[in-house]
Amino acid sequence: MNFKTANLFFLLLCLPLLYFLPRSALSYQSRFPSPEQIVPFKSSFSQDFLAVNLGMRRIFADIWFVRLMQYYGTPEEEEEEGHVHGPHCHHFNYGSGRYPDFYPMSVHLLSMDPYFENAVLYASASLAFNLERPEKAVALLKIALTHSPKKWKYLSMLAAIGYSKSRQPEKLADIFLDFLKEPDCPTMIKQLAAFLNKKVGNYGRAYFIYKDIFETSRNKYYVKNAKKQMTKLLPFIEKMRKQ
Amino acid sequence: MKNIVEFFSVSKTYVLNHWFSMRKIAALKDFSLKLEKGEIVGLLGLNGAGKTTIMKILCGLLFPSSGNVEIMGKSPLFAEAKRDIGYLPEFPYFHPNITAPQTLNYYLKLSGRLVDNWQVDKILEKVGLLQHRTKKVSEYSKGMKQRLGLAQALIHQPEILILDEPVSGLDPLAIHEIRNLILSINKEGKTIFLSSHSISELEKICDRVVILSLGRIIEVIQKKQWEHNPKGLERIFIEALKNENQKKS
Amino acid sequence: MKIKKSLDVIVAIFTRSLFEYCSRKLFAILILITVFLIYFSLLVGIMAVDYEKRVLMDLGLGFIELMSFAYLVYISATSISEEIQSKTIYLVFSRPVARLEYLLAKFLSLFALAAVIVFYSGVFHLLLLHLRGFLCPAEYFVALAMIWCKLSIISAITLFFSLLSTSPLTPIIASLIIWMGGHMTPEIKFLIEKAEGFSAFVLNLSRYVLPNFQLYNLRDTLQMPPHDYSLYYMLSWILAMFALSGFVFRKKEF
Repeated sequence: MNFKTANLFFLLLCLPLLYFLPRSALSYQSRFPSPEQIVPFKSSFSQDFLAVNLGMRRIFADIWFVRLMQYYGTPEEEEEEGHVHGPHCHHFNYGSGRYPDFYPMSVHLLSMDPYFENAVLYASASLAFNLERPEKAVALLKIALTHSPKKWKYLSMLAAIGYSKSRQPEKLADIFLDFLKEPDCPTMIKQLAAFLNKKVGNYGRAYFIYKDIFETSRNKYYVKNAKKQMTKLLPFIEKMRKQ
Repeated sequence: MKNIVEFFSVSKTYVLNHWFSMRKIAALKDFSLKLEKGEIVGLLGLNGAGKTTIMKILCGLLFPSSGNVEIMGKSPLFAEAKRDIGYLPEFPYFHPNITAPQTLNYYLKLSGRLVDNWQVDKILEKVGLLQHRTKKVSEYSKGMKQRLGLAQALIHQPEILILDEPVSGLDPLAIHEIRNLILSINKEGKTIFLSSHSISELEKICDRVVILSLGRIIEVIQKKQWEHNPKGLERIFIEALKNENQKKS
Repeated sequence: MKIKKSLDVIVAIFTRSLFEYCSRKLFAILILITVFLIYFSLLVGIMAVDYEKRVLMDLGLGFIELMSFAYLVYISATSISEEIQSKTIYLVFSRPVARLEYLLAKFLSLFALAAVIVFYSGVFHLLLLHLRGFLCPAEYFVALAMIWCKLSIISAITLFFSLLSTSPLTPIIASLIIWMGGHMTPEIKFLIEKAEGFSAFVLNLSRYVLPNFQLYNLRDTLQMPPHDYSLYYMLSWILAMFALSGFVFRKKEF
């Protein structure tokens, strides 16, 4: 092959790229929002920058979610007249508390990966039902809905928060039933559903939800609690069977 | 075809770019030479005379700035022309984690031949490496690598052997063996084109010696010329260089 | 006959090169580090409790990509330049080996190396997931294939840059910048809206010139299918890099 033919051959090989480069530049739509919409949390800028640069938003969102769970799972310490409370204090309530960073962390996590469904459900359920901050839960869900407007789980969660405010536990229990059908339903929601069904007297349903948690969850707190609840509910189940 | 290799007024200028300056070095100037089939031609010159440049141009590793080269009528710019050449560079280097037979089979494939373990063993025996065939190349001494270099130049039975400093760094016994090997290959009708700093080696094996200085041929000496000169090729070489220096000054 | 001879030469160089890449100590160290990191992600996975599967999958895929990228860029940057410096290349081109045949074999060996690394790392990762009792969705394997596509593009680009420079550092740094820039192509679009004048021009140019690695970032968006032109986009990049490399390599002297 002489040089002229070779040059022509090389030019021909470059032609497909000359077509695909502008096509990709003009037509590609990222599913993630722009980086300016990332809501930083404390000194997370360098990590956020790395996440965007390496195309690892999902991974960093996972790590932030683990941090959120670790943060929420770590008991708070309060000072009352010089006495420092800790986890050994019997009147300490696990699950409730101030956890002032919970909402900012959730918003930051959501801005990293707005499609992290389980994180949205976990955070909104924790805010609404454990931390008693339903307005923050609603705000979080609204942010999630801007990216996934047709997500029925978010809409259902909004409805559940509404029913919780209007003190209608039966309707709340019914809403959570739809969540339970999903294979990747967060354990916290299962836990809530079981609690609600027990509260309204649906012992059978509550028992089977706790049984599911016992068999599938890897969280030893949930498993321990589920076992305890199943033991409490067993007499009711046997009574129902006899009837 | 009597002339197996022909250089037609070949010049080579190296361009060295350094930041904002450019330097040109004329390594070869108007080099013309013909190699006949079956002869052994040597290149002799000081460091920087252009010996390696000539060999690399012949192998297609460098491109001439002007002029032409032909190997059996074909330019070495095209791969086909190199089917009949076997090249031994000055310091041959091989992939370290394989054995000599694997190395030679690899180069056989690159030369367009089929894997031939019998041929490989025959060549290894010829160069004195048969007993080391199971060792990896990384375990070879310098002399053994030089022998392997010669083996890879011979493995595909080329018509022309281009040897750049074939006895460089070898002990006297190895030099003797390599010399005899080159002569035996020549007896099979192969053309050999070699360069060396060792005047005595060139005297012993070459039919013709081309003396180079600063990229130019200053003299071409036939074998009978140095055989008839009582002080041999060395004297002729030194006088040729002195005459050249006087011409310049 | 000529085509068969060409193929034999390409296959010979390809297998030799791949063997060399896989027999380096650095390769073994890389696989060990990747396996270590994948199993280290177990700790993070355990902390994630009921979300362990997602975390293990995401971190595993991320580590596989990063470690593969590191080794592949190093090999692509040094593959040909090492052969030139050690003069092994003399013994190749003093034979009837066309420069394009050699180049093609080198390109193919890098893609094969990427496949080997992704495969081995993927096997260890799948083993870990299996030990933890998780099954992988089909998207996982597609994500692995997309990682291979990204690595193939970046190794082709690195190999091209390595032909323009004598030092391996230049192509490595260039590839790192292109890797990061390629993942930011959607973000560049937003930056263009904010920028003015020369910076807007540069950003616009980079948007068109940089490879869009987000097309292959399925591990970041596991539910989404690949774009319909992803494969053609990858092939077009590889062909263009091959063509540019061929143009440069043809005139290279040793």
